[in-house]
Amino acid sequence: MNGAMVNLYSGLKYGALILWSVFVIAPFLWALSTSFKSDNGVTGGATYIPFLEYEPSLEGWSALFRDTSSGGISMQGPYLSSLVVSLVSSGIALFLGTLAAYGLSRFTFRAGPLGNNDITFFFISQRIMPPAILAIPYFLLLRFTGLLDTHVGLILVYVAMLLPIVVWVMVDFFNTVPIELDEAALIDGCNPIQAFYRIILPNCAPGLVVAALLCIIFSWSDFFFAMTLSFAKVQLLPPTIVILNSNKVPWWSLSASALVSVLPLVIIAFVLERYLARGNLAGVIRE
Amino acid sequence: MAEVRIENICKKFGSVLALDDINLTIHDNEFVVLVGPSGSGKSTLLRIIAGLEKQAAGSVTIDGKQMDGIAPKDRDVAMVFQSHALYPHMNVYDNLAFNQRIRGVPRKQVDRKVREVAERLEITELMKRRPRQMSGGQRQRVAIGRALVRDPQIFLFDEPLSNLDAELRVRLRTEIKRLHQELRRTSVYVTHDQVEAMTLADRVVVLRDGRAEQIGDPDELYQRPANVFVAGFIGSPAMNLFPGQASNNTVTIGGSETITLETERSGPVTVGIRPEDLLLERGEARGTFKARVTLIEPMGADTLIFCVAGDSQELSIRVPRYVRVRDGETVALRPREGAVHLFDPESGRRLN
Ligand SMILES: Nc1ncnc2c1ncn2[C@@H]1O[C@H](COP(=O)(O)OP(=O)(O)OP(=O)(O)O)[C@@H](O)[C@H]1O
Ligand SMILES: [Mg+2]
Repeated sequence: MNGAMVNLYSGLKYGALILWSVFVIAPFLWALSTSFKSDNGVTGGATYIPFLEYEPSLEGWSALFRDTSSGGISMQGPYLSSLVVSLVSSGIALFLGTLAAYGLSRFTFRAGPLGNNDITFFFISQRIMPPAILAIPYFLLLRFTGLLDTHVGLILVYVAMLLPIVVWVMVDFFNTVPIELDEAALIDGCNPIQAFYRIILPNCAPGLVVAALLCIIFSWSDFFFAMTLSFAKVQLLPPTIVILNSNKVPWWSLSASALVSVLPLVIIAFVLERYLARGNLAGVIRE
Repeated sequence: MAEVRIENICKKFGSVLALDDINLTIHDNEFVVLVGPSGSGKSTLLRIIAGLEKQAAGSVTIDGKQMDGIAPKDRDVAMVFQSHALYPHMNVYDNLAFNQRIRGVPRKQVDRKVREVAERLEITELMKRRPRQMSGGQRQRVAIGRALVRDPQIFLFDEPLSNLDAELRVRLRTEIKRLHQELRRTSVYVTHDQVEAMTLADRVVVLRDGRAEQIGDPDELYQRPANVFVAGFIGSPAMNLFPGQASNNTVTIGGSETITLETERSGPVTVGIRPEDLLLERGEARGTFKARVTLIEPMGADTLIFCVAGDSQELSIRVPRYVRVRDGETVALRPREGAVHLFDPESGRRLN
């Protein structure tokens, strides 16, 4: 390629990237500006620049924390519940799923004609069924155990939904780590548990990050189970926000709550992103 | 001090019999090489000694102590893998130090040991590098270093040089031999390279299909192979094997050429002669047979000559470099006296 070609190529590349960024970021900017508007700011045609085009107001934001009796949605409770439920269920799913995946990747299991691959597929197959089919059985199950409308009940259901994802991602990652590493660790002086968490797990950090992100995103933004399995004592964030949508839509509070609710995901994504870099394993697998 | 006793070891993988009744005593300080073709069970035997694999039957005893149920970490063995198996997320220093740290050796002592070993293997400048930032030879050096830091009773090597290029392989081979001379530790070394086996070993175990075909020192293996398989496996180019007939203390090969040999046997035999034990003769002489030269490979110190005798009997000869022959020439060959091997054509066992 000559110089002009290179310039053209990088021009096109950055053009495409900018276009994509606008596509991704624009809704956030729009939500941000809407969240500071009041009634006439929204209905009086499209406006973008505060102070100049519309009078900014904090109504949308303050409604998030006000009681329902005074026209707010008091988001703090649901927010905390959502945080607890999604972090705890993700943590449990990651812990159990990683161990299960390690076992499936390293040891041979037999159940009649079925082997490791069948067991792995069995895990993944849990996600083939649409959630709607599971809702009624889960509802009955939780009611039977007295866990309906409790944090524990929701956490259990989410763990069941998240485990397949974790197992699936992690089995794949563990399979890329040569078993000689486990063996070297065992000979070097580790017991099997130490070999797992001191040698194998650190080399699967990117997989763990991917699995963690998938878990948190799913459990944080799930609406369906939150809606069907909790209603009075426990309220999670997604249904709470949707309730705003009822008769007269307060666009400003809706925007503000949307922004607040994606905030944890953004923070977690930024924190975890730097562990995503792969490359440590290069040169370990036989060349 | 460590003696490894392997008694009646059997190992099955599904329906594959990977090891079939192996008996072997590895003496203190001895360097034993397990050699054999791919799939012959070399790695499996090594891994059973290490405790990474469990035998189906038989026992491994180290220094008189039964190893059943003893974890690899408690066997006082160190192992070097073909794929080096360095920990990718640690730099060289941590790779070397890991086994000491996990065993709770005090910091200062670990540091001293690591530096000592690094110096000996000339990897001190690599201390800060990750495995992926090094060449294959450097990685394997570090892997050997990791074993040395342990100062174990027994060293196990599973084809440590197979992934390296020819020159590096020879260099590290010499280095391993020198290390063994200095440290005098019991070592078991797996390879499928018979040159490695011959150069390193005090004793060689030739494995085929899970059975020990012969156990002996390199000379013994070369000069008195116990059967056709060992005869063909050890030595390069391989020993020439001819069908022959024995009677009255003479052996006839190819119909007319006869060799006088003391043997009680009469009937068909397989005659084995190493390439360097076939001597070139000019002109006709008693006890020689003719062959046509088809290919000449000068190797420097000596020359390999490939010939065809009779209709299709291929054979190879090794002659000193100053012997001149031409392609297509017919030469007369005489087997060196006392260097002819006889085997039973059915069982393959040695007869003389
Ligand atoms: N984990 C395993 N599962 C099933 N079969 C195995 C396993 N490990 C080894 N085998 C089989 O056991 C036999 C011996 O294998 P082993 O690895 O000991 O051979 P090897 O002599 O080391 O060969 P190579 O030179 O190729 O490394 C082979 O037939 C192999 O296919
Ligand atoms: Mg092997």
